[in-house]
Amino acid sequence: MSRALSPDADETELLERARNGDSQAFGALVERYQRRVVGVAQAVVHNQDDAVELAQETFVRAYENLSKFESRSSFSTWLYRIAANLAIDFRRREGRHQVLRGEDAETEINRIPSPRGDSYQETARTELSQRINGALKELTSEHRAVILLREVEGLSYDEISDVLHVPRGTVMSRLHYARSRMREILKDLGGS
Amino acid sequence: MARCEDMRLLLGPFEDGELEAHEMQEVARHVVGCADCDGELADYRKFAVSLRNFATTPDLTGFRTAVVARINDLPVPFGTRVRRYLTSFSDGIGATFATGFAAAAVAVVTAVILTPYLRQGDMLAGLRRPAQVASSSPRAATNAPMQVAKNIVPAPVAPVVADAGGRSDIGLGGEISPAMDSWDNSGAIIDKLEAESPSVAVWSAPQSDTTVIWVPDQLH
Repeated sequence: MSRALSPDADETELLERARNGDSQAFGALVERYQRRVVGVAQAVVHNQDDAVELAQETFVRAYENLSKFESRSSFSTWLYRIAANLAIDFRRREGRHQVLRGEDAETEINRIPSPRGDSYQETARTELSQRINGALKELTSEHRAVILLREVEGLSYDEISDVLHVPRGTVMSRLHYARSRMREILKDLGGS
Repeated sequence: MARCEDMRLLLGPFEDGELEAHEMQEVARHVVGCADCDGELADYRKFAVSLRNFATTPDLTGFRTAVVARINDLPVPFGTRVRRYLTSFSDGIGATFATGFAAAAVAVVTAVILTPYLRQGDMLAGLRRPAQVASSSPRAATNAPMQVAKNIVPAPVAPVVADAGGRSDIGLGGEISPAMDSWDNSGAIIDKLEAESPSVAVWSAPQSDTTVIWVPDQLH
């Protein structure tokens, strides 16, 4: 029953096949969106392990509800919305509104590509990442989620509005606040 | 600096390309002439690059396999199973089966719809078909394949006029007799009728609800 899947197979065809029970076709969609779905979850919960688990749950929920997906929005936006909803619920459940766990703060941004043979540069990068991480921790989870979805995941304002269920104007004001706050915290880095 | 305050709200959306075209032009013109806003915009860009560079994605090796395994373990609702089964049929060999099934269904529906009309047509044809006139000889008459309708007794007073063409006028007036309800009795009845008087047997091909009526011809 399963026909061969090309890496860039048409999304509509993959969705149709997935609706008919072809789990490999759905697997191709998972491959295509897994990184960004994890990113969306991570932007909200700020923990990699939780984000990966939530992303898995996102894809399972999406598969179970494929018949309800009506193509009014793009499949990716639909996935991000599921991921964000799960992540927001998770955060509420776990009571992680304001505080990052210590090890989460380390794992969130701290994995830096290590340039070989230049310990000074490596140290500088580590310090920079710690500063940025510290600045992010200063933000509320709502502001942090918006700026990470925009800057790291590259979502548009409309997508962020859709995913987080807030008006576009709220997205703009939260982004403005988050950027201003980060600039204020990192002002000594600004001119460097 | 009120103008700068207004512009600062738009610097982020300007950097993100989320403004209308005329607003983009307005911000671009302002930034060119305002060092503060230009510096703020440069900072936004720097932080964005840093966030992207330092943000890490967890190792997703085996992620797809894990998701597919979970999906394969999900219970499949009955309705979904049926739909997928039918879909798989229509995709492959089942296309022939499905076409045949559809054709058969159409044939059955057509037959059901047309049957009453066909019956009506047969009845009309039967009426138009010339009646066969049997010999007045009792032996010849009894040798002919005859059908006698159940429970119909010839009406002695009902006249039948058979002309040379075999057409007949059949009078009504038969009555129901429970005693004469079998094929075994019919031969005896016919013999009795023919023995008593010369008669004409009006016979037609077997039809549903066919009635053979014997009427004494001396009435005419």
